[in-house]
Amino acid sequence: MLEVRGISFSYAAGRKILDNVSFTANPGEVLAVLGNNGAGKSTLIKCMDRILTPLAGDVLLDSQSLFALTRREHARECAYVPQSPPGGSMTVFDAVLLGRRPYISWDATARDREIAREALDMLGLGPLALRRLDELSGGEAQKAAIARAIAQEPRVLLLDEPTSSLDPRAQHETMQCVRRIAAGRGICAVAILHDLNLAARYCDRFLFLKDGGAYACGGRETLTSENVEEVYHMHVHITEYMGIPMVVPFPNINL
Amino acid sequence: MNRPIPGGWEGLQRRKLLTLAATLALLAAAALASAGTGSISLSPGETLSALFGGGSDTARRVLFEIRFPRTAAAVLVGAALGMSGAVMQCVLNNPLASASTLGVSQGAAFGAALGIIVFGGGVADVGGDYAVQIDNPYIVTLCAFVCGSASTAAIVAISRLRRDLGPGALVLAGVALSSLFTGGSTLLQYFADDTKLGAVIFWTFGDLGGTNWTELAILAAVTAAALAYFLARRWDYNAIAAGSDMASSLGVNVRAVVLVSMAVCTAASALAVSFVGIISFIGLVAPHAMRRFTGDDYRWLIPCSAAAGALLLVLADLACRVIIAPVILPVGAVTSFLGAPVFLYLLLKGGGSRA
Repeated sequence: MLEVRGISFSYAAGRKILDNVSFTANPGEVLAVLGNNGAGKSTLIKCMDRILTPLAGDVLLDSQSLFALTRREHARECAYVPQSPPGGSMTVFDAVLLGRRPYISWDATARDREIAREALDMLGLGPLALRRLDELSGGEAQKAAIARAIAQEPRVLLLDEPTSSLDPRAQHETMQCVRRIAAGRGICAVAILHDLNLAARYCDRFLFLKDGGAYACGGRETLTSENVEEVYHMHVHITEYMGIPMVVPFPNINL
Repeated sequence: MNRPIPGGWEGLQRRKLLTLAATLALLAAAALASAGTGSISLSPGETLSALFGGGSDTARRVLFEIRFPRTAAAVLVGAALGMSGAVMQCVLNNPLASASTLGVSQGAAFGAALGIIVFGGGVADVGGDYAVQIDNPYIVTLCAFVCGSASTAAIVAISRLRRDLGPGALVLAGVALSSLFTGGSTLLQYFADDTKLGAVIFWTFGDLGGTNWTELAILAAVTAAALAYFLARRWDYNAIAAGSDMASSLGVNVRAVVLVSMAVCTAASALAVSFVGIISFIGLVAPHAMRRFTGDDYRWLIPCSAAAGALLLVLADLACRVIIAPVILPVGAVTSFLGAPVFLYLLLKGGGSRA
């Protein structure tokens, strides 16, 4: 189990962006991080991945502190998929192989290449292996970034708005793929999402962030119209269509 | 295990290896030609046999006292500048970064002027090969090294203080520092006597012929150590090229790697420049030329840039000696003349993939 305990963060002498955020996530499940712009979602994920150093708090994986690990050990446990995946002239295979960096001492071994290759196949990127990253579509680039994270063989997978720049089909493909990987490998996946319908459909747990604090966290029962209204200041109905959960917003109704 | 990667990734690696091998082969050929060219012309065979102790006494003396030190200086200085350029471009995320654009050259020139005019102690007016000989070359080299390093140190400090500065701003900071150092050099020169003024100007031309074996040994040790460090960090550079958040997430201590890399780049290129004088554009042109073959893959780009830098400088030096032989043109001027158009060509063709 992944347990985040009392994370607080602020940039030098500024107001607190995160204030004592705690929540838990389960292996094999996808947790959605929800909240308005500026609620601290990206900051939270970056603190968990030690890209930013929090003022206080800890992240425990099966009761072991991730913050006590060396950088290299940490990168073997925890992988991060940034909001805009890197471009450049690197080939897709080399980008995925880069995920083996935490395991490489001098050079990539045959085993590293095999693991990168499996990650590539898992996301159906085999035919694109030698394509340059800047020649990929948004959805393909997102998949390449996820494949690189998978090659890290992490137990925690952090995704910053994995669907934000994708067309509708690619959004669903990406979320299905994250779900499949989390379930298949017993990974704790934590994804920042803006689309409540994608969150409702593909995520098992929900963390609502409001003004830098954890407003609510829990399973499907937490995704209520009351919580959504409180966090997003917008009236919603939560319903189902053919068994698929739907969040229908009514932005013009005053709360 | 060991199934081929789809699309022929192994073939791509072989092509990159071939690029490196071809550049090294060209370098070996150019170095032989360079050592064989001069008032006493030697065939590659004669040069090689002299290298291994054969051949005539005259040939061995000419080669070991004049030609080999010159060629070795070109190879080492070119390699140091070429690979430092590639690494600076990576860690500063700036395709225009290099020793010359970050003010190392101008800083070193100011240092040399300071060393010759203020601390030089004495400049003898002797005949022979050189019109002016600097009496105390070590103080000049030391001053050039310190001032050349100071320029990059200032730029790294600026980039740490204001992290929001874009890539363009760092190059502009380099321009500002360069003009500061140029102004300082001009003032020093204004108060110098004719002999010292001559020595300063001669130094700034760039001279590969003035290095002795001791200096070459120092240069070789530092260049080899820098190359070893860069190669050990090659995966980190690839990670940094993918973005500093990404690199951090892959377990790279980005801050430390950037600072240490800049320090190593600066030490290697400032040392190279302080031994031989101002040599510009190698650090820009060599990596950009090689990016066309290796992409932004620093596993290959670093050794290829070192080889290409060495090749360019050996060829430039050869050109300096044959264009209007027996007059030897200043190599610094020739690299700028050849380098600037090549660089513009690369920019216009979009060859530097991130330029």
